[in-house]
Amino acid sequence: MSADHAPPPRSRAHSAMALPSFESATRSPQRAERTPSDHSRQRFVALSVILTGFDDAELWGTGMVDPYLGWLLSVVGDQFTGDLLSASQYAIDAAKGDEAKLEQLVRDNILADPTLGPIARNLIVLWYLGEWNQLPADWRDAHGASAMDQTCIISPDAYAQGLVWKAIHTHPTGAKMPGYASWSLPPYGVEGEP
Amino acid sequence: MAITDIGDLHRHLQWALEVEHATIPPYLCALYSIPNGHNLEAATLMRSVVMEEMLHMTLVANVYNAVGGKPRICHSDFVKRYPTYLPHSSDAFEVQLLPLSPEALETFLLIERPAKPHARPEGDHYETLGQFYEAVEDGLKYLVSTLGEKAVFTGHASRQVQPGTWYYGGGGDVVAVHNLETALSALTEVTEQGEGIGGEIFDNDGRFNDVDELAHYFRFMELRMGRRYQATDTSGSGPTGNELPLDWNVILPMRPNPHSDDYRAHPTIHRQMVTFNRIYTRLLCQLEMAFTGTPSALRDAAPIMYELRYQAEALMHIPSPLGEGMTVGPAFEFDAGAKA
Repeated sequence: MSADHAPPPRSRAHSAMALPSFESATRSPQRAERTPSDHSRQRFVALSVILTGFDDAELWGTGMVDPYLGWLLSVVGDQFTGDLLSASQYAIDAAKGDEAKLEQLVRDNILADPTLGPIARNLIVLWYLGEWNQLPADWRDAHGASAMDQTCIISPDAYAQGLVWKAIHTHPTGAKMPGYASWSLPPYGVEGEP
Repeated sequence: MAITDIGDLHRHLQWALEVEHATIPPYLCALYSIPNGHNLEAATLMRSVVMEEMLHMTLVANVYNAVGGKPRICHSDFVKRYPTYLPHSSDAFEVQLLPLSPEALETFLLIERPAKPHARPEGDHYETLGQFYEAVEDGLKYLVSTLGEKAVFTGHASRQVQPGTWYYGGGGDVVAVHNLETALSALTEVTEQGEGIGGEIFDNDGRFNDVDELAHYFRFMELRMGRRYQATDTSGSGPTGNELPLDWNVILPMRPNPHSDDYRAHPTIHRQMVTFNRIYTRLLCQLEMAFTGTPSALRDAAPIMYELRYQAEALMHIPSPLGEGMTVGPAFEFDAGAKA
């Protein structure tokens, strides 16, 4: 998998929302090690939507788009991050809005790829748990290892913003107050969602 | 005189609820535009004001209930579409939903601006909230002197939000109202916390355990001037104490006056806005329950307030496709579909 598979980037054909330029719109309080470009942020969100099953607004709402993309750039570098984003853009363009086809393309071209697969799986864990897992030994042997590639919760915000809490309709223990006696109420988000 | 019968009194107290509430969405937008962990002093200051506005709503509801009224909150008429004038004010300025900014602070100062010395009490079309509340207080005194206290304070004690019970942690404690003295005490707390009294900067009110607390007007002045008041300062001197650090660069750039309709073409964003509006509406209806005979319902209002906060914070982070470099923000709209 390399970047030259991908046609010139364009907005997501199947997306409900074509995101325009967001220059400086999401200045992150958690200054990432790297400041990603708008273009790569949009492609990163498009990829994350596919990998997590949460939509773009939900992902932006966590405030973690910049910190996670910045982390990725710092740990696996520009080349592999670029390849991953190009591969997902290619899949989105080739699927032409067909969800089943998109899933198959992502499975074949990203998750099954020995280089991109481990990064993509790590990204899923990062979004859900705020945790980065050290890449597999094979991957590190093949591509070299960054000193930052250590298993850790990457920041306090990452823990609090983990998608796992939304997915199971509860709050991150010790990080977001739910209010006294909230345990007697139906879990947040189970009812009342439009 | 603005208030000459019980009907006038009820109408003015309902307006007072609307006014106290109308300040909360703009203050919350300023608060939630400060990202977690940044500008801690400014965030603490904004939060303290919001907490007291919630206390004011509760105090006004207690007065309203004590005089046999029925607060009406869970209703689309109760919610203003921003930008808006303060309800029943002289329409001298509009209030917008803005991120924390010099422009927002200018408006906050207008909202909380002290009345001029010897300014007339004003019911409808008031210039300052102090004058409005003075009209309410005059009306209460007039009605008690003409009808007698028992004929005015007809509300059942069980409708009062009692101190030390369901109301917790919110900018001072409530006052249970059952006569003229307690009613005036409750209303005095509202105006003292808001604009101060007689040009005093600190409200010096030991009763509510808020030692040397600045009135809202002066707290906003601190933010605008970037400096704290110290004990020797006067309203004329302005704040001359320590610097109040405020990094404007980290403020989340919310697009002014968000409306969910603006995002109909962007379904994923629209869904998040509607989610917020439904939480907000549920909160209003829960508060109405608490203020109309079931004070214990306040307990379950607090978890809804947390939901409201987290959803507002999410909207503050979502880039707006309608404004370059801006984020979406919460609309604070009444959603009839969410009435429980």
